[in-house]
Amino acid sequence: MAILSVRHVSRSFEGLVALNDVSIDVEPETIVGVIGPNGAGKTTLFNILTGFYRPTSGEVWFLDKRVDGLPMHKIAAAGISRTFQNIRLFSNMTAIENVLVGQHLHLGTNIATAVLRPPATTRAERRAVEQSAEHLRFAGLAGRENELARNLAYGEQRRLEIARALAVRPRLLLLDEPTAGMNAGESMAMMKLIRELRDDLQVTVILIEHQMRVVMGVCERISVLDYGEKIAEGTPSEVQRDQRVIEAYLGTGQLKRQDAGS
Amino acid sequence: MVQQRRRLPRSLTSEALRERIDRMRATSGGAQLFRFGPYALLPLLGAIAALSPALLSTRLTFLLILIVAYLMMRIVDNLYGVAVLALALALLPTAMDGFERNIMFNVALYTVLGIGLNVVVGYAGLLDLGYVAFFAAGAYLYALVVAPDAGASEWAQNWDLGLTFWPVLPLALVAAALIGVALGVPVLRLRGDYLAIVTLGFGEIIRIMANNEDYYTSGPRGLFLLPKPPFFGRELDTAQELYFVVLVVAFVAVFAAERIRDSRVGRAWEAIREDEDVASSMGIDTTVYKLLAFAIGAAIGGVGGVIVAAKQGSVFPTDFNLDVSINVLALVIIGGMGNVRGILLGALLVVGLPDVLRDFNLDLGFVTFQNVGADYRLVIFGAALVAVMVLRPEGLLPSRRRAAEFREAELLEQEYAT
Ligand SMILES: Nc1ncnc2c1ncn2[C@@H]1O[C@H](COP(=O)(O)OP(=O)(O)O)[C@@H](O)[C@H]1O
Ligand SMILES: [Mg+2]
Repeated sequence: MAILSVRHVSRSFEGLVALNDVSIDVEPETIVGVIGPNGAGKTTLFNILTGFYRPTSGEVWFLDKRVDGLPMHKIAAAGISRTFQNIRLFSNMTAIENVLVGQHLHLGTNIATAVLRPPATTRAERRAVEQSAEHLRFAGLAGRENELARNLAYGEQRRLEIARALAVRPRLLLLDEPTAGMNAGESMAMMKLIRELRDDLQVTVILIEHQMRVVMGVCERISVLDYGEKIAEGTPSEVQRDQRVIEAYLGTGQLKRQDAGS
Repeated sequence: MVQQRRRLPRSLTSEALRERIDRMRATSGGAQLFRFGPYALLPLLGAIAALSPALLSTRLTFLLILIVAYLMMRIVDNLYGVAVLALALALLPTAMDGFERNIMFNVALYTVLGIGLNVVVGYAGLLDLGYVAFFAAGAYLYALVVAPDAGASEWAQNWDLGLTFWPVLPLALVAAALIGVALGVPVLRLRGDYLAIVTLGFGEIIRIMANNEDYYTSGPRGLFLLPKPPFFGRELDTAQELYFVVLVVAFVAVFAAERIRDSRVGRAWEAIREDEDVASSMGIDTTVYKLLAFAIGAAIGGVGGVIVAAKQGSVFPTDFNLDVSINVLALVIIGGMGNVRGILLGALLVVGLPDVLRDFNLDLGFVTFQNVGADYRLVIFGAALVAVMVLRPEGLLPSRRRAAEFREAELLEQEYAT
């Protein structure tokens, strides 16, 4: 039974069709790759899944609940969380505070308990801090808790986005180009982290990725988008042999992006 | 870089982690508390309070208060700091004349208003230029329900509710909060400048309503002969007694505001201020939290209104001009946005200083200029504000975060400039 079911989703922006009748099913606890040339509509798909955009038509079902068109915070509460292609941290908050914001749904503090601070609230807040520290450790940011997010190194910022998304306790995690701008070593570490997300935390992962080594290395299934349409789907080896995929990548015969821009 | 990481443990026991958490706590919120500062300042304050009428000019006393308050504000997070500050502020008016007590009352009142507006502007990042509306609502609510005899409007004479100051206080809190929500709902979609303009209009509308709704408010003739707060069989009527009332309210407001800021609610506001879309994708219902900020800010403003109506014993539409909103906003910005400690300093400067300057005479030894203060106080005040904004654009005591945001904005500007 699919955890996520994208059904005939289209989205256009003033005539420009960014997504055209895309359907994707994702099985629980799999790592799924979404690939395709720049402007293919990958980020738009994520934006629809997380409620940033409404689809022009089509439906999104998550855990047997229809979620398209729900406000973003309801989708987060349903269990979908994400990172951003262009890093969007709360840059003037510390690393651990970023993660604490991610715990919002799992803390009950309201105005009254914030002011009166009954013991239960103090305990809950303390637990949240400890859990946040643990999320940071999981993402490889132990020791960086009190650093302002904007002072973190680029790779650390990408990791912090993952830690923050994890704090939402998602069933489905969407990673938008998690290795963008990383060197080979950093990418390897990121691949390891992505596998651990699934193996250790049982999170279903969808990632948008350009580095084929990463895609082929961690993804069990891949969907290929081109000009807003899904042109192929399957295991990495199936997709790699797919004629349309090869053509979409400028006929190079290689599943490798030519332009290295973001 | 990536070390051994396994399943998240349920609870954490590692010593190192605890240490890190403690360090985090020490560098945030609870900030730079020097533990013995309060004790050192206690005798100093006692001395000032005892000696100032005899030895120092009363205006000098005010300057000393300013300095001590500045020091106090750096430690107010600390429980001792709060206690000492409370004592100091409570003792100081005993060494003052009526005029100065009045100034201190206004400073304390505007501190309350500043704390309220700061929740909206500093915490949630929503620019509100019509804050006077809630202040007016609280004041008029008091004037309408405390059943004055002679100075009442027609409505108040028909509906003699006979309430007193104390029950009206929470009533105004709730009523103003509801008005805050009512204003918030239609304007929430607006951001930045648009929000500022709409709230500005809202403030004016409330004042104009007070002017025109003759049946309720008696229009420009105002409502007067309002009773003072009762207190164990008597009335609190001296400036000093009412100063205590507003002081207690100010402390409760500071306490509440700081605790809310350091909680899940405060973090949600901060996240909204930084990136609203991302905040919602973290599960924060941004609409609810913005309304909450409006409601809390409004509630505090409403309480301030009740107090001022009780102190003055009257309310007139002209008490709620635009300059109230501007002054409150100015003191929040001057003090350092987002920081409760900066707000008292801002109130001392923006509300206290112009009045303190009023009878300041310049004595150069060979020649004395009389009434320099009376004639030029607003010029001096304006120059002081400009100086603060030029020298410390982030405010005198900005929150750590605001200072960081400010530097970031400056860097961005420089980048664009080059
Ligand atoms: N908010 C928007 N307004 C207008 N056009 C958009 C918007 N978001 C995406 N697009 C367009 O949709 C297409 C797909 O974009 P995107 O999903 O970001 O591609 P990518 O696959 O590189 O992530 C692009 O042509 C982009 O310009
Ligand atoms: Mg993209």
